[in-house]
Amino acid sequence: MLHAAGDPVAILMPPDATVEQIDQMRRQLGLDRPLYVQYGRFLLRAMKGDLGVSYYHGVPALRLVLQRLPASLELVVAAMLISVILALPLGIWAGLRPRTLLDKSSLLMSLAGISAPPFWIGIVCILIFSVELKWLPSSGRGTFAHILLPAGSLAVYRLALFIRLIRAGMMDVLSQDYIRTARAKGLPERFVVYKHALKNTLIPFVTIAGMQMGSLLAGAIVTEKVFAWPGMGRLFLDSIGKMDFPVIIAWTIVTAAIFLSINTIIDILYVWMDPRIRHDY
Amino acid sequence: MRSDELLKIDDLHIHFHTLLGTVKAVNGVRLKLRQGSTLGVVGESGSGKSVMAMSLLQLIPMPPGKLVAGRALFYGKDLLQMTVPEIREVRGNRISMIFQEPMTSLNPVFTIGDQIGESFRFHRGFNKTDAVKKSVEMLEMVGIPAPQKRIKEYPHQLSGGMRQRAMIAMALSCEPDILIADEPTTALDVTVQAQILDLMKIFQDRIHMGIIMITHNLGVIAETADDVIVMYCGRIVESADVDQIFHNPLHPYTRMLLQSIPRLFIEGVRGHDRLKEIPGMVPGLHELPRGCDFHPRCNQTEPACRKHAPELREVEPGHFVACDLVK
Amino acid sequence: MFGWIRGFAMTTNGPLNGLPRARFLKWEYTPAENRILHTFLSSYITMAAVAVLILLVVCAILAPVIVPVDPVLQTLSARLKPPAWMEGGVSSYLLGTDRLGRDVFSNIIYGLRISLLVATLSVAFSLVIGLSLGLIAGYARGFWESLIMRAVDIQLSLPLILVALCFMAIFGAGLYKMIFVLAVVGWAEYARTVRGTVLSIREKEYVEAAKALGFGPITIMFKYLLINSITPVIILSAVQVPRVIILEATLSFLGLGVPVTTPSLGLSIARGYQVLFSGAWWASVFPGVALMFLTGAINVIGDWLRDALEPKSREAAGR
Repeated sequence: MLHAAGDPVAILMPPDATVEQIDQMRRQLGLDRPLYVQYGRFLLRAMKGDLGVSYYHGVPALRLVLQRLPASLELVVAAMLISVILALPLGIWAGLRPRTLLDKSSLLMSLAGISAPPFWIGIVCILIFSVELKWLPSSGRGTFAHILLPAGSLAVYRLALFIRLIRAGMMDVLSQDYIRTARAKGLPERFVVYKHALKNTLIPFVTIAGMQMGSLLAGAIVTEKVFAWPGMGRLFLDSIGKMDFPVIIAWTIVTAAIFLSINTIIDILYVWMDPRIRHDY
Repeated sequence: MRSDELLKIDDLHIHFHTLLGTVKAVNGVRLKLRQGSTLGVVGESGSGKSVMAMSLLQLIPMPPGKLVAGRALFYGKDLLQMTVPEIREVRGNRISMIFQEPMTSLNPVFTIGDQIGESFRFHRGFNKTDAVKKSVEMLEMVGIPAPQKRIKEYPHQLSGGMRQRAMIAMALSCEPDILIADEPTTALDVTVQAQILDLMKIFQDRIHMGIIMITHNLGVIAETADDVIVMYCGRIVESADVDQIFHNPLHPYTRMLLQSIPRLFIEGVRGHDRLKEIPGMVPGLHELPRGCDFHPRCNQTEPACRKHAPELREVEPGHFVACDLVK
Repeated sequence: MFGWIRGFAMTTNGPLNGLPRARFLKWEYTPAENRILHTFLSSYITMAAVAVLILLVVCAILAPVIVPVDPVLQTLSARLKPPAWMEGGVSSYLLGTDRLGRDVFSNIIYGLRISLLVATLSVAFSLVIGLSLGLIAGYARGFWESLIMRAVDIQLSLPLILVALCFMAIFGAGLYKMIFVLAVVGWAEYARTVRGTVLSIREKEYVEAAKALGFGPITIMFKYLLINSITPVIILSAVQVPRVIILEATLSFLGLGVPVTTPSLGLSIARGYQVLFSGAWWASVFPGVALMFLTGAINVIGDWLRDALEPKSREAAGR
């Protein structure tokens, strides 16, 4: 990968560098050794936790990535919270009253939410809230006001998706036999919905929501660029532009690790929540 | 209304509006249920028996369904016109219903103790601990071994028979006046069937309950019913007590149903006869034939049957038939 | 009597014992037999969506003809002009110009073209790859199936953006590279869906019958199973196409998609982003609106097809 995209050293050096200077840099960075040597050395160091030094920043790549990690996580978690908290009431309500005005309008809004490109939504938000109304800052990280726009625009797509999912889930669950039994027992409708129907809807929903975490992390890359949010994603994009390979690799590894842990957590969560799986003999 | 009459249904008509046309699911049904007795409702699938039963507890969603006419009097009040709080008071409390498929009829994510306890908590105002105690008692009464352990289990951990017993426990927890059983044994093994039926009989004797037993299985009818009505295409075609139905069936449909029961041992003959079947198929309820509903499949049909839909007439005391050919 | 279909369509009584019929303006039809048509006519949104999509596709195809100004042309004297209806706007630049004097409207039309091109081509490729692999996996079982499904699982556990980003980052921007990457990224869902359908169909009797009649396995595979996979594939495509459109826009926005010389909606938005604070909102807003309409229309059509093609729901049958 390192050499597929061109000579990293040549890119790093200022345009007027001489050949000797380039060679010297190359030697310094260890890029003059044969490929397999470089790979071997890389693996060795990786196992020690050393993923190399960023070409551009001059600090260990892993540390750089991990430094930015909390910022990205903050964004992702905030977006997830926003989408779930808003989607639950809307989705449940729409599922309970299909074909009413509320249902149709929420479907329409969710349609817009999944159709518009997330980065564009971010830009529109900036235009409305930062440029026009000047209510919220458009970049940087710090106060609660700073996180609102980025997390909000990142959340829009998931929000729309979740509303649709919850609505469909509720409608499906409500047509099941055990709901009929619950009604036949004389339970009040509110109880039938919020106890019996809800839990059955939430279980598959949680799984899907969890899997969205990964996709959120990916989407955050673009959001971080739009809002100049100092997170991992932005680092990744910059590094691509600068061919800063240690950072790219470090980023990939960290992201992969995060994905794996999220998936594992979701699996555990699902087993815990659904009694059918828990008691599989 | 006689004093021991629990339920009286008058001329019930329920239609569904669908893309296939108007489905006349219940097309003029009247019946009476007496205290402590079992009314058997016989019919193939599509005869409207389930719809009729579910409408008593207002469990039929009213669009697309529509109550076109009729009353269902329970202690003088019309069940079909009750308000939501009123019908909720009746459901699971005065009139209980159990369904055919115990696996899908129980909520898979809650323990059966929880589900049985709900009736106690809602209709009798028990608190959690008392509800659990009573639920354990109910499980014991329906014959589930080790009830304390089972209380905490989930529906998928129980066998089919046990699930149905749990459903019965749920239905009978508040000692209802009427139990509506919609094909309770169809999904169960034969041996378990007998146990379940016995269980219901025991309860019936104990609390003097009326049972509406809906089934297409004539064996079950013979075992449990006191009175029988036979339904076809949303109408009652014959109504009598159980002896009359089996020994003197008058409607051609009833007779053909009885004939089609496979007989293994006939005196003197080793059963190698063909199974007698009723030719043709049950018509879809949106395209009922003209005249008598049954005439296309009837083996005694006459030209007049195509023109006139027969009314239910009393042919001998307590025995009603809807067929013009019966005198 | 059956007043339950709203809108233009009204129902009338069918002939005695026939199916009810509906009427839309002056055409009569039977809803029960023409489900696709009926679901289409019952929903204003669906009709609007189809109209919008047709409009956009026609515009895209006729781009060279209808575009007022060459989208790549930079007219520095006309930089950052607002849309025609605002103060300072000029009617020749209908939706304004961007930082380098390029006409926003023309860029949108051409951008639509690229979006549609990329989306259709890459989805078509993914479809073919995924369909074939799915058929093989479902029918052959054993080693091949495990191999293919493993690949599918791995592919699907990663978000599309990530994979696409990495690819494009390594190999650089370019139209055909992007089509290739997006095709590669999208095949997995097709494969999985098709395999599912194959598994459920292969057990059915007519496959056994065909085998007994001596048709070779390849014939069976492609004839029966193909026909039955069509429906889920169509529905899946209705979801994949919007996704790919947005992916392309995102990649182009980041500079990792189409080359800078090719107009693209994402690229237009990126250019508008650079001048965000100068108040020239039109350069980034309008391309996004176009994207939203395009994707939205396809999403609505997808919903409609899913409704119309799925097996009949419980409530349609009487009991």
